[in-house]
Amino acid sequence: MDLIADRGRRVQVEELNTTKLLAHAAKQTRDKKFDDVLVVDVDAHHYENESFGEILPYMENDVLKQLALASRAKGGRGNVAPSGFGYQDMGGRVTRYPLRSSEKTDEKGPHRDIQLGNRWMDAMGVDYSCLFPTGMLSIGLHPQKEMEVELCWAYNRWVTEKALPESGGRLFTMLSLPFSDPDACLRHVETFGDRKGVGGFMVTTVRPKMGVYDNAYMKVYRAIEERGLVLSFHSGPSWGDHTFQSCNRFLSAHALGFSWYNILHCTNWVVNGMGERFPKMPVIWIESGLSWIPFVMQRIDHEYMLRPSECPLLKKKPSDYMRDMYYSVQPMEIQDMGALETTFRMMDAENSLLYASDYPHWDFDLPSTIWDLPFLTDKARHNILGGTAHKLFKLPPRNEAQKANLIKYGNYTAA
Amino acid sequence: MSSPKTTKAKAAKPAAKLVGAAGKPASDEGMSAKDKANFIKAMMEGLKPAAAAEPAKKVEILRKISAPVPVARKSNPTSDDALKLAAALDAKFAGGDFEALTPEATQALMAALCKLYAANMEAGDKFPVVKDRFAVTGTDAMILCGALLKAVDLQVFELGMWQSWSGV
Amino acid sequence: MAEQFIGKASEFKDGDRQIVRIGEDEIGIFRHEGEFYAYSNFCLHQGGPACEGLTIANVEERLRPDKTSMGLHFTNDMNFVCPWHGYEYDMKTGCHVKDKSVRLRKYDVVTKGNDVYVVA
Repeated sequence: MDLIADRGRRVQVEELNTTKLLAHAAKQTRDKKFDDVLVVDVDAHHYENESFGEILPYMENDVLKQLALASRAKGGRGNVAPSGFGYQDMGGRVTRYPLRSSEKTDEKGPHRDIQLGNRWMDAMGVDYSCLFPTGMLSIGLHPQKEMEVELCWAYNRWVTEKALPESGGRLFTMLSLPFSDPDACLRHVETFGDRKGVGGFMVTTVRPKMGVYDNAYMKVYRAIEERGLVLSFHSGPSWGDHTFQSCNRFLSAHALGFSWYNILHCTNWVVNGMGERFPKMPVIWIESGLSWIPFVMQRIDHEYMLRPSECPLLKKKPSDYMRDMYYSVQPMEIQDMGALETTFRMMDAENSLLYASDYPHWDFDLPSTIWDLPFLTDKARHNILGGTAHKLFKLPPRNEAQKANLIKYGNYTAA
Repeated sequence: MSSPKTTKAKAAKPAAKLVGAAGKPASDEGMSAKDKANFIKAMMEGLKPAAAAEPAKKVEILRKISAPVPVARKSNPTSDDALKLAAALDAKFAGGDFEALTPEATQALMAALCKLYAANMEAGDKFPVVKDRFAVTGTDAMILCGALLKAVDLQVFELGMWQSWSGV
Repeated sequence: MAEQFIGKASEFKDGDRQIVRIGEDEIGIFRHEGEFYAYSNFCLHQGGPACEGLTIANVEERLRPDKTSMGLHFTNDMNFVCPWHGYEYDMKTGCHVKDKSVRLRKYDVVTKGNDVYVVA
C-alpha cells in the first residue's frame, strides 16, 4: 500500500490496523487502569457512505431511491448526500484516512464498522460508544426536504436493524432527525424511539436556516421528553457557508465552524426558554470544544440583564440554563490550563461534561485528556468519563470494579 | 533480604574504597596484571559506575519503514508515441504551423486525453494536468476550459457548484 | 545510559527508519541526509506513535518584499508527523515545527564502523 507524501513521493506502508495504530492508547488504558472505570464515549463515528449499498434500499419512495441508487452506479458522478469539502486528512498526514480501506476485518464476523469500533474502544478503554454517521452530519444542507427525510429514514432503519444489533450492546446511538420536516421528525421519534440501542435523537446543527424554537418542533421535543430520551445537537463545519467563505485555510473554517453552529443554536435554545418548556429532557451540545461556553455565558447573561423583555420565559440567567444542559468534551482546547479550569468551573463540568472521543476523526481525544487534568477531583474524573453518561443512557457497568466506582462517586443507577 | 536502602549504600561503597575487579582491596600487593590494568585505566579515565553497573537492555525492533520514493509511471510504447507526437506538434507550432492537425484529429485527441486525465484523477492518481505553469499560457487555459464547458453545455457556475459539492 | 546496538548502517538507506523498543523506551531512528536522528516514539500531544507517520517536507508561505503572499510551498527541510493528530516535528531537532518548547526526547546515535548504536 502506497501513501502519497510531498511532491509525488510515495512510501510503502503496511495496511492499516486500528489495534496496532492505537497500541500507545492501549498502554495508557493499562497504565491508568481504565478497565476499572466506566468510560462512555458519547460521540464516535463511522463512515456510513461505505455502507450506502446496504442503506439506500431502505429508502421508502421508489423514485427517490432510484435516483440515489443510480447516482452511485459505476461511472455515475452524482452525490447522494451533500458532502463538504476540506482536508480532514491533512494532506495524508493523518494516515488512517488514506489507509482506511486497507484495513482487514473478518468477513464472517459482525459488520465491518462494528469490528472497527470494537478495536478502537478496546484500545482506548472505552466501554460504550455513541455511534454517529459522518457524511450525514451535512444532511441539513440538502436542498430537497424529501430526500433528507428519506436518507435519515433509511440510515436509521439500517443502523437500528442491521448495524447496532451486531455490536453486543457496546454501541448505541442518537438517531439523525430530518429537521427540515417536523412531521417526519415526529414519525422518526415514534418509530425508532423505543428501539434497542437508541439513547435519543440528534439534530445536526449545520443548517443555514433552522429555528430550534419554532412551534412546529414542540411536538417533537415533547415526544422525546415523554420517552425519557436525550436530544443532542451535533455540530460540524461548512466551509461553503457564506459565513466562512472568507476563510482561506481549512483550519479557520474548521476551528470556527464546529463551535459556531452550536453557539448559534444554543443561544436560540436558551433565549427562547426551551429549558423552561422541556425541563426533563436532557440536551447535549456535541463536538464544539469547550472554549465557546464561557464566551456565550458571559455574552448572553450580559445582554439578558439589559434586555429582559426579550426573554420573558426565563426565570434565571441564561448561563444557569446552560449549566442545566450537557456538553461533549471533544475537541478539548488544552492550551491555557487556567482558562480551561475556569471553563470547567463556569460550566459545572463535574455534572455537565461528557467524555467523547470523536474517533476516528482527525482531532480525536483519548480518555487520558480528562484523566490527566491536574485540577480535577477524582469524582469529576469519574463523572466526566462515564458516570454522568451512565445516568443519562442507563448503561450498565461492565465489571464489578466499574460498579464499585459508580457507587463510590454517587452515579450508580440500576438499569 | 536486604532493604533497598542497604543495597543502595552497598552499591556506593566500591567507588569510595576503589575495589579491584576481583573485589579485593586496591593495593599493589597481590594484584593480578588485569587488576593493575583496570586500576590504571580507572585512574586515567575516572570511574564510570553507572555505565559499568548497567545491564544490557533488550533491543526489540518493532518496525522498519522504508524511505519514501518518487514513483514514476514506467514508460511504455503508447507514452513514447504520445511524447513523439507532442514534440512534433510543438515543433510545427513553433514553426508557425497551426494547422498540423485536422479539426477531427484535434477533437479525437482532446477527447481521449480529457477522458484519460479525468479517470486518473478519479482513481486518486492525481498529477498536474501540465508539467509546469509555463507549459501553456493563461489565455490558452481559459480558451480550452471555456470550449470544453461549452462543448458539454455547462456554465461556469455549474462547474463551481460541482467542485464544491464533489470536493474535487 | 548505554550504547545499544540497533543495526548495521548499510541496512539504513537515506530516508529509512526503524522503531525499536529498548527497555521501557520506544524510539524512532531516522536516517536523513546521511545523518542518524533518534527520538522518543511517544508524541507529546496525546502519546501517539510520533515517529511512525509520514515524513513530509516543511511548508512555508513566501512573501514578496511588498508583503503580498506568493502562496504555500514545500521547502527542503524535512519533518515527521504523528499519524494520530498531525503533530509535526522537525527531523533535525525533534521540536514541534511551530513551538520549539514542545520537543521530543532526543537520543544520541553513535556509529562505529558499520554498527549503529542508540544511547538509551
